[in-house]
Amino acid sequence: MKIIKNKISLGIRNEITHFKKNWQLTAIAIPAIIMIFIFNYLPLYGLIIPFKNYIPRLGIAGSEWVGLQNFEFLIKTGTIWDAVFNTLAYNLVFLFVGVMIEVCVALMLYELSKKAVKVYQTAMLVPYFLSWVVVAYVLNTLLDKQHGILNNIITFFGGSEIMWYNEPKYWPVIIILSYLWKQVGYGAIVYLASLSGLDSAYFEAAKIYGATKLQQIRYISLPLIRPVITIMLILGIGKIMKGDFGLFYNVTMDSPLLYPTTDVIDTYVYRSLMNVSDLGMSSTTGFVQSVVGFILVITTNHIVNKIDPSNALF
Amino acid sequence: MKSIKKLIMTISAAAMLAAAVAGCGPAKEADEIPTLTWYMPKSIENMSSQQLVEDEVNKIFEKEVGARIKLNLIDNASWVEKMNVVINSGEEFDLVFADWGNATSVRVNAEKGTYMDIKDLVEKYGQDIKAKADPRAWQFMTFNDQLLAVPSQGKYVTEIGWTFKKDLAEKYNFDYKSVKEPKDLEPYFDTLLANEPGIIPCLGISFPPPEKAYTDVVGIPGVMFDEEQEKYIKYYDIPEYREEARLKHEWYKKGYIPADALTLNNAETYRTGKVAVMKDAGAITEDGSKSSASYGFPCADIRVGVKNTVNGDTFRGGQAVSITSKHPEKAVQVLNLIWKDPYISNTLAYGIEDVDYVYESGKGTDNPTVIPKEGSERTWALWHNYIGPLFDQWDSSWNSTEALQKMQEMNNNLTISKQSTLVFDTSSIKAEIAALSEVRKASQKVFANGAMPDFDSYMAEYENKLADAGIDKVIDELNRQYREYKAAK
Repeated sequence: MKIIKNKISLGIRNEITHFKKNWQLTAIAIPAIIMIFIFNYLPLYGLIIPFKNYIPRLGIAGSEWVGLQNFEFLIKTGTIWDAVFNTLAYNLVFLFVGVMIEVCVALMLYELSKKAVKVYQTAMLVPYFLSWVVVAYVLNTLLDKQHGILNNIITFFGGSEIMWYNEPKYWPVIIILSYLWKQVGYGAIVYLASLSGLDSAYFEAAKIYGATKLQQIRYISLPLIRPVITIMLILGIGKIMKGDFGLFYNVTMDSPLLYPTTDVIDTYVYRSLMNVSDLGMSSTTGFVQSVVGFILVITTNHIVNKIDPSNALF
Repeated sequence: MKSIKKLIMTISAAAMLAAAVAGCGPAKEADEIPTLTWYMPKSIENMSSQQLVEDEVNKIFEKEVGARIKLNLIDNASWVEKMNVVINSGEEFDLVFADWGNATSVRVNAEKGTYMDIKDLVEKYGQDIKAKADPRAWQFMTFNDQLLAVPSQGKYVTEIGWTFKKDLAEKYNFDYKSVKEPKDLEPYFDTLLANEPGIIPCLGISFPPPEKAYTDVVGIPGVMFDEEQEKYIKYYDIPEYREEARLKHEWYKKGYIPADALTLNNAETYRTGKVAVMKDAGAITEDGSKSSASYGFPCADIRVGVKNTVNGDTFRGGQAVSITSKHPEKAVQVLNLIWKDPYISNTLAYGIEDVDYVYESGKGTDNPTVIPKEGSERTWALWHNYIGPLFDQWDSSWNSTEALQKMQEMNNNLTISKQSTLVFDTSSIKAEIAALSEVRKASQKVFANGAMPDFDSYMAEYENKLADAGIDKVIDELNRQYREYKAAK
């Protein structure tokens, strides 16, 4: 017992000496630490709002504690489960297909000359900076009933117009394509950066021994960027319960007939509460989404730790 | 040791800097005249005359009241969201437009305690308001014996009107004046479909209301109050509304209502001039003037029905004083002056002479006729019934004096719903109401345009969803509260 205590105090003393030596380095991080503290840690206090009957006049602390009452509406009807299913399904596809394509794009960009990379990368990044509202109108020029390019092509070849915004069956594909179009350019940057950081000696050696491009990718690039891919996946899993409101609300033009395949938790809750104006109830969704995300990140990280500790996030 | 001290100093210096930045509000004004912050929704997008309008009215306010106003104009689209933030964060402001059932409504905010009780202040400073505001309206602004807002004058009954694009109606010699019910439109629609390929026969119109009186239940979607039976019922249990939905679906299938109606913005589509029969923009005088001005081409109006029985929320547009206001007395005095002096209310509404309107006649008198700028030339507009004294409005294309008189006449003949002063205690059915809102919101547009794949199966599914959402529990609870309310009265 005493030995352990001694060890701990030794450890702390070590830390202090360590800190004394290097405090300048910590000081550099102070602005960031303060920012994170103000914007990410202080608001954590608001996590008790979902459990309160929040009345502005009384403040957060003064409002009445109501336990789980605010959460009732989330599970009241069966309909939210469709939205939950859609949210999870889309996010899983976004996560895994997204990472796959992003890595592919990064690998392709890596093979290009510096100038060409700039051109391609810029072209692929532009959609990322468009808001979903703009994307929705871009898509509308393709899908509009009368003036849409797709319907014009279809009728030109003798087909009959498709009412895109009334037919839920097409939308999983449309949503996923829109997401990838907007996201892939940005996502690929991380992988391209870590590819650029690799020691070129590996590739030179492989070339000398006659490895093909595909073999280089299979045996050098992919294994070396695996930690990055794993970390991105773990982080992505934390957001799996959050439906991107901008995407699902705007791109579908909020057409009610599409809800069976496009309604996600966030759009569902928006419809439930937009006229209710109750902060307690509206903050429950974010609470549940964050808690589930938190648990998933911890669990996934734990599993990754079991398999290969060097790939884990922490 | 020294280095730690330094570190602490650095951290505290940084923290102080952060606090200073965060706490840095507008500098305190040296003079004594307070400025009242006033939240209003924008009536039009471009409000660039704001400074001119404020300067003009502040000249009078400074002299008469000893206060200035500063308008905080919020886009209509983000009004609900922004005002929720303002209210929920306890921000300091003075005046706000209390809307009819959204974020700033007195009914929604009564429990929250957002607004100040101005009963005594209105008694003391609000003589001109009391003289002009509708005497029936005050009770709806009063909760627990506290007066939470000044009720605006308004058009309290809803008239249902249809607007015809005039050139088309004339081209096909359609006698729109003889139209009495939806079926009468069908031959016209058939003619249009046969001859005018680019034209949408009809979009976004409502049908005449049922013979019997039903009123909305404020804040609870999908439920209506039957005035005769004195009980709450489901919206589509009223045969007329169910029939309207069914007929609209027929129209949708026949192509009278366009196949892409669900993703069209009605108001924007009207302005393209491609719709033959539209919802009216105000068919009070049936001369088409208001619709022509709103949609931008010659229109003809007919009135097909009036909802003559109204509930409490109808009266609840008005101006409220925030509980966070430091100058409630000045705020009420400012409001009273607006009600007293038509020049102020009309300046707040129409803007500045020559910039936003010109006089047609009667300049300097109490009842001039003005011509407000239209379209892209417009740099200011606040609707009179948001500000307060609607019937002090100067004659213009917004509302003619004749229309205003007609509105007052209609107001005098209305019936107030039997459930009008009942304020529900929704604490036990909150979750159900949220669920009902979702079901209603998800289906409303589909019903309004008849745009379902199959009517009977869609209706059955909708009714199942309502049942799942707990509509029976809600209706039972409402009926119980109504019986208690009636017994207590």
